[in-house]
Amino acid sequence: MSQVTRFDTDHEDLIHDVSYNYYGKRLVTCSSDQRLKVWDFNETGNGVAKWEVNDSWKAHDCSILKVIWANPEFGQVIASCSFDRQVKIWEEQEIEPKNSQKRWAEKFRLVESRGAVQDIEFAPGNGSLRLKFTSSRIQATCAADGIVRIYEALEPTNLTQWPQMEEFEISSVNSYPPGQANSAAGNMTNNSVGGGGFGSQTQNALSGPQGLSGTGTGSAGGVQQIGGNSGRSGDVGGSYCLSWCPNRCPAPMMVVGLGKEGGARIFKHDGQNRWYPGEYLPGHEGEVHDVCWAPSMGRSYQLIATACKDRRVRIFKLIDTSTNSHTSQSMQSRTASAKNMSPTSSPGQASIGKQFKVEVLATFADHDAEVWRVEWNIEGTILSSSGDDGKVRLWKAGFDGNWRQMSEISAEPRNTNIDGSHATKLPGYAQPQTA
Amino acid sequence: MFGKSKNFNSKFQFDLSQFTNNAGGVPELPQPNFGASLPAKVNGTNGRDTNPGNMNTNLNGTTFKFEPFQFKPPQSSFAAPAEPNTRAQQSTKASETFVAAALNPVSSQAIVFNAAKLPKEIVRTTCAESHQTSNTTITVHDWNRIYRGRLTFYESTAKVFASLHDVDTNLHNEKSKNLTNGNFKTYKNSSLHAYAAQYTSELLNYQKLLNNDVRKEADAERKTIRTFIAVWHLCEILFFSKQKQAPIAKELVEWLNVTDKSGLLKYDSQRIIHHPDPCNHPEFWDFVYKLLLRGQMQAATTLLTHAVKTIPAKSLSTLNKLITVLTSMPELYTNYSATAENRYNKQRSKWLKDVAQFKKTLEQNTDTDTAGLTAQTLSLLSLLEGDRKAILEHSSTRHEAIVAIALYSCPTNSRHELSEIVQLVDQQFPISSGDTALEACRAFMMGDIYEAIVTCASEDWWLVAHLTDLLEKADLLESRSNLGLMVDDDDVELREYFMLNYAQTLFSYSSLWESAIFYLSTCPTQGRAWMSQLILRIPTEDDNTVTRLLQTCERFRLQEQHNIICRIAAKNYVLSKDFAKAVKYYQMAQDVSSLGHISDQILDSYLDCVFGYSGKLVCAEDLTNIMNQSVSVGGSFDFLLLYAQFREQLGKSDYQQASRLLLDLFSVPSSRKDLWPILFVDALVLFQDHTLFSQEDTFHLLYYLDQLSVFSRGSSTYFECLRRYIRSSAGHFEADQDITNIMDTFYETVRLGLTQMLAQEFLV
Repeated sequence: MSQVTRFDTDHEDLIHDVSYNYYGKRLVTCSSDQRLKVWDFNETGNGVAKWEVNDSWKAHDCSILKVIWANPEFGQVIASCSFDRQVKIWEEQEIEPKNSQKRWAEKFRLVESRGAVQDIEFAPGNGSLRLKFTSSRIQATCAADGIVRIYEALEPTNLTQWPQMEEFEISSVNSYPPGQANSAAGNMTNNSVGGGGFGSQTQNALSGPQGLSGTGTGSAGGVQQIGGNSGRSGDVGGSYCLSWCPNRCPAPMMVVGLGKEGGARIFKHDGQNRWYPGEYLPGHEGEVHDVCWAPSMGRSYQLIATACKDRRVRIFKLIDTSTNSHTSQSMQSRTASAKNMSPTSSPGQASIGKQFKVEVLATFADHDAEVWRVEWNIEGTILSSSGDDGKVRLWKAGFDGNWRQMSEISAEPRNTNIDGSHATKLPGYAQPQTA
Repeated sequence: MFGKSKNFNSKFQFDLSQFTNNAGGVPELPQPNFGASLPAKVNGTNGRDTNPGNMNTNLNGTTFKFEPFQFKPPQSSFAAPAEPNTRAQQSTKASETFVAAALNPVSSQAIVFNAAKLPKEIVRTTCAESHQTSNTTITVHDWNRIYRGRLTFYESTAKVFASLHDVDTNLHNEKSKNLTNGNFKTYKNSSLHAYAAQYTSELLNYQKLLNNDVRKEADAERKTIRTFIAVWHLCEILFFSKQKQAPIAKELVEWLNVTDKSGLLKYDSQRIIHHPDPCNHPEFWDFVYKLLLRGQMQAATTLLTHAVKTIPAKSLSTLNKLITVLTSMPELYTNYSATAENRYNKQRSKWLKDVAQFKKTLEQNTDTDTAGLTAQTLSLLSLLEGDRKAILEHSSTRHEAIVAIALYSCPTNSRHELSEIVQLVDQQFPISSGDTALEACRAFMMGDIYEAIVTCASEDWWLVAHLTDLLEKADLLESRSNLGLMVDDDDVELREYFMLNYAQTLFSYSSLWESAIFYLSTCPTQGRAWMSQLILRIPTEDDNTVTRLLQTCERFRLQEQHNIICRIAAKNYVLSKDFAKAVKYYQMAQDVSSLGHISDQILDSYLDCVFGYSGKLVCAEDLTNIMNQSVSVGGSFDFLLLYAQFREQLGKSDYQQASRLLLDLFSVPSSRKDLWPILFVDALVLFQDHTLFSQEDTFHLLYYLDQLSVFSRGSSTYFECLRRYIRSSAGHFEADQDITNIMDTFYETVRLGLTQMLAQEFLV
């Protein structure tokens, strides 16, 4: 049984992003109208519930591209990124009345980006204690200038200080010496890719420009350079996207969409203060619009989903080979060192980072149109994908281990349907949807 | 010549009294209409999964169509066909947005909205116009919403599940070994049977509740629950019986009459009984056949007895003999033993001879007046003898036929011998694709448990989760690797797969999170990871929920989650300025860093809170209690605790105690020097009484004052707190005082107080 309710956000322009809070009881919407709106799900005693505006305010000087919630451990905190090149941290002020436009106070703004900030994500809550990274204090931003920046709030109770901790350049065109980009990409054999390139190009990858970006709002350069690209915000490198590895690891990792270069790559922390490119996610025949790293929930392997311009949704399976093949890893490290491939890689890098064998677990062409977004549920069992076909498709692995479409949703309820030819015959999915 | 009659003394035996008092009967439930022409099922990747390819189902009065998905251009999804220029506009619309979704982290809801692909600034540059549409509507889809009343059913069965798994744990301890008297297998069988029966009972209770709901929306749920009952009750009989070798026929009769009442309810029993000549009622004999096919011997006998009253004298003996045949049918044994089986076979053999004799007599009857009755009686006797052809001829459903053949043709067959009957019935009653109940029941009867589970999986997580749970306990579930389904070495087994998904469903409903966590706790591979993740998603809205969450964490040894929940609760209390509780939870989380920060925050708040905040810091008693519960965490918290106690003693005018605390406040390692001016100001009242301090103490105090003057030389930082303190004490309307004035006044006053006290000490 499917139930549909709807409400109008009353944004004055198109919405760019909607985000649920940690408990699924609050929403925040952002729009090209430069406003953020927070919504509370209010339940009355008689079973009636509805989304009500908590506050609405002008948050940026350009379109707001993405908005996210922090872990509740840090209070009611949201972060927004905009075409105005800034990221802002907002905290709810309970003493201020609702709908006063003052309910959410700007605590800090991150201004280092030289282009539109296209993606932001708080680090997962189970960051390595050894690195003294704790939870949502850390945030990564992905900007149109092709640089991922990592910020950390110095004190969890004080959100007014967010120094930039690290940054790295996404593009391998600039960061890899000739002939080595392929090495970092690994050697694809059928659907399998080895973890080659581990630890390479640390120096170049970290040699991105430092310092503050220009103070002007908007990004004329980005606009001019976009050409026919239809990325989320557009710039010379296309649209970039990132997703932290949400699972407990010896060192933080994230997957980053490589913009116009195509494909996606895993980037890993070396245990000190540097990030280096890891495995390449192969097979994409166009720009990756979105990436999402699934919670592993006790599985020994990792799953990453990508949404690509080539009309495909892909699920990659990453099998950790570093624990089982410690010897081979050491061998690879020695070989790399002998070839002087990673002159600046830290000594602890090989022992801290994971090495993965990458497999393409599933490729779905059902959208038959450009795919824009992918998102995992918190258990990493259901994947949603959004495409240009006007459908949101939900994917799930059956007990036979095969991934299938379990449902599709249209924005217009009357078009909500079940894909009878592909839907996994699983509970709740073979149900008619009362649109 | 016939033996004594013994009818089934079953709670499920059809009671004829409902024929005469139909008002209280169970309302007839509409049978699901799956349509006459369902296409062949579409096989899944593994060849086992089944999908209805094109199914029309009438539920809630609405026809839903399951059709193979065909891609439709996005334009058609948004609007009806329109004028060409409108189409062009729509094309633009489609290109600037896409339909995006955000998944609710807790429930099965998804927010769906039209998301802009490009920011307005770029659209303006490239298209010379800003976003042409402003569809800012959000739709909230729930793809797995269940009938609301189902939650009570989930709650009640969760209790059975918890009980089952508690017992399971106890089975291995000393107490249970005594309980089982060493015969663990028998105990386990008996235990599993009891739990399976409890689940059946819960299902039936829920069905009764559902039957009270006359709304259309309950129809789909009634159908689902009928399927649950049909499958579950059958499994109870087939796999969880205490006496696996005992004949299954009697239990199948019960099963049929519980799960499918419609076969009998379609007859107007009152009208038949009260007919002037029941035998000539057009439905009389059909009804008798139906009762016999469903093993309702007593009801059939009663009906025939009613007919005897009005039947012509010529036919009386035939009917009476028929009644005698029915009442003398040997009673099937329930507890299997070779003796019981032999005894039954002998009785049955004798009874069959009597029936054969009776048939022979009837066949010789040439009276045309009673020819009709004779033919019906002969046909009935053939059925009672177990003539499969006769049974199939009169059965209207496959389950009726299976049960009647088991009852009359091979009554001593055990549950393992059903497959032959099923195959026989298959020819006459093929199963339409998409009928979960029929497909699953057939597979279970054939002994193909996996196939049956695959079929049940299309219905609901409850059914497969609980079924596989019991089947695994009964060692009847194949491992995934044996089934060829093992994708990875650490993949979860079937039971766990279904259990995780069922727990996920439970978790969607806030009232059931504790049950969800318990279900997860029984999942050996991934359960713990799921528990760790999901328990953090329960909103820490109130103290009661936090307490329950923390108890659950302790129960399942989720220490990390325990600490995180404490920190979240603490943060909530910080935001609501309930500092005592915030400190309590940070203390429970053993979060020394946050405790230090919050202590500083409390002290800072204190400076601003005198006016309009009653001047109360946090209750020193609360802090002491918190501190007594665990070891001191040190840092600012120790200072805060001392200061709170100091303020409290001052409030009580216990100056002796306050003076001791004052000295501690200066000397404690975490002492905040920026608060020293406030300590001195608070302590001025103590300096009036020279008996409170020794000379040594006073010299110490003068030393601290001297230290302060050294620290604050050239810097007013150390007096900012005092200024805030004075400002908030004096009220918001007091103009800010100059910091130099404050410092001068402070030193003058404190020095004077200390000097006076020292002088008095010298004098004494």
